[in-house]
Amino acid sequence: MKKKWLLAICFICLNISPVFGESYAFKEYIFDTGKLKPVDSILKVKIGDKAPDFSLPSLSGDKISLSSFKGKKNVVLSFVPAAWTPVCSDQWPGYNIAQELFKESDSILLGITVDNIPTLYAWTKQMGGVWFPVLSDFWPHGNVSEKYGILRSTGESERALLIVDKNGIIRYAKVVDINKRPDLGDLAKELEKLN
Amino acid sequence: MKHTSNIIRIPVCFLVCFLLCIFVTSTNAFAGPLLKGKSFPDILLPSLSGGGNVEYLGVKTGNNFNLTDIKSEVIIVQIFSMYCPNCQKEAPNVNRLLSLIEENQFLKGKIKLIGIGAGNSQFEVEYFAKNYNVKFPLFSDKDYEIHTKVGKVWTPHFYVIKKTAIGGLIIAVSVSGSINNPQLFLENSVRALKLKK
Repeated sequence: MKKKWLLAICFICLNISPVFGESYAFKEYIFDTGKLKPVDSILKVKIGDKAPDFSLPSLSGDKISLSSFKGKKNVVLSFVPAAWTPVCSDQWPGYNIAQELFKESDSILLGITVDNIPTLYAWTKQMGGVWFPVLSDFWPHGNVSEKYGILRSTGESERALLIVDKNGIIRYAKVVDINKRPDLGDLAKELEKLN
Repeated sequence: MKHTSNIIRIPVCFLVCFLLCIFVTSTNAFAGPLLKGKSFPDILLPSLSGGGNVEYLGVKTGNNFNLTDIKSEVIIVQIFSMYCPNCQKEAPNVNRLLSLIEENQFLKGKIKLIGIGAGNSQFEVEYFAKNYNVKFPLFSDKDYEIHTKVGKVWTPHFYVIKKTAIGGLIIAVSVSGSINNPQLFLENSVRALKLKK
């Protein structure tokens, strides 16, 4: 009898629709994390600080370091918690059509998660690819996220956006509610300030 | 003894299922797309500041308005997001759909097209419109209020809605994902709408 009830509940649950207006492109691939604690770490950097340098493996196979952009480009760091989760899967595809925004402020975008490279490969492929480098903060696990004070107690990073100017100084550091997507309009305003 | 317990169990099962169904439909907690033939909520849309969109929809400037205030027999509502790859790919198809309607003397004025940006801010909706040169009105639904009312659908989703004689709204077509071929989508919609010449 208990089994029958479980089956009935599973059947109802299978009919759940997305809560966050996710893309059809990810239908059936997204793991529903439920509502998470909005922020679960304490930021270790602030505006005006020198950004901690890092060197991480990227999807292209090269290692990319933050310091390599010094004197050349402003850098936007987009940390997202994890591949194949609800809000993250809809954040980077939006940046795909906003390349002009970054270009106008002479900025490069770096996307970072704590997932490993094969996972990031499959996930970004499902997005139809992205124009910006995607970096893996997988090993030592979440090391860069930890340096910035955005590693959650569960091993994912926060959903955070940082802007590092050409001098390597942090000009913007925003950790948003993990359950919500940051407004592109807010980032656009911050990028404008760089000009 | 076993027979007696079944007599009790069966009505209890029915009662629980009935209550669960009421919970599901009333809270919209496990909603899916609204279906063809069902009524569509007369959603409230934010005011338009003026320009071509006000003229296109035939509504007053500066006031919030309902779907039923739009001057047309049919409204096609696209639920989209700037962040959804399929919506980005679909944008030229939806633009083409608008052109097909506007170039058709029978359909022009009868069918109006709008987009609802699920979870998108005003900036994001405008960015999408500018990026894809969208010529029909797109509305921001930042807090998913409209999205929740229309079944928390995956994006993109298309509703073709017909006004009824008594001022209601009935869904003629409800499609998830890409429309692919705008010509075919329009033909199928016109057939489903049974528009009178």
